[in-house]
Amino acid sequence: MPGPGTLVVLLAVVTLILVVALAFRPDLARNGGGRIFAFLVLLMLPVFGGFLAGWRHLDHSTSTSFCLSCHIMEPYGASLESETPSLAAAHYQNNRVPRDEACYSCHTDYTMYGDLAAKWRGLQHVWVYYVGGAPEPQDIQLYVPYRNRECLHCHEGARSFEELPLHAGDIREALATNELSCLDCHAVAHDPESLSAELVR
Amino acid sequence: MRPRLNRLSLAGMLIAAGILVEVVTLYWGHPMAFLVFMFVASPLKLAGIMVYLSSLLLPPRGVSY
Repeated sequence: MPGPGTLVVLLAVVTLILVVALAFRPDLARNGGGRIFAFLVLLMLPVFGGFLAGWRHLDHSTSTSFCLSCHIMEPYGASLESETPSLAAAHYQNNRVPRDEACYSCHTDYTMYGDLAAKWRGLQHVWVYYVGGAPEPQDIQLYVPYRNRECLHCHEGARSFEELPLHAGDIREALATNELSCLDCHAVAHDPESLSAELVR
Repeated sequence: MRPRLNRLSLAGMLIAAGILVEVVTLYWGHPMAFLVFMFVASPLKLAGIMVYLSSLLLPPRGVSY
């Protein structure tokens, strides 16, 4: 069965054929039925297809390969496979995140419009990369400090998290309010300096 | 060719160009693909749709269908 991407392209191609037919034979839209045909072909299908294509783009941008297609992200991609202890490697190598959405799983916002917010940040990345001057991989920083919400989205309620005495009481409250970051104890998330060395090796 | 039909042809060509660019971006794995989709394909389609709507809402004077 064809995948959703193929169906989106198929719809676009069908729409394209109908639109071209109408462009070269506009007299098709002269009578009542033809006007409905024109309405479907010149308005409904392009709008519907546009939303589907946008959704495909959003979906594709959650893939690990998409994030790592930028040269500047190579050390971070290497961190997933690295033997250097880091949160990213531990999550990726132990299947705590889907491997094909490894970056996205930790770097999206788990809110109603989190996907769109992540996409917006991605557009900022592209802008900085092409216009603002790309930083060195080890100089890349998050726009805002990493929020515990993203960790707790998966770990809250998990036995390994809940049963650990260190996570109880005041610390639990501090985690909930971001007064204490998960990364204060669970560093290092990535280690670009050692990663660059690994890439050279 | 009558004016309204001319506008339909123009609308069709703009939308077709937009769809062509859109399909190319769907096969292009680079992050730039989304920008091209947003700032080239979508405006082309939008322009075509606006031309089509204008042909419906603003019929040329002296022509009735």
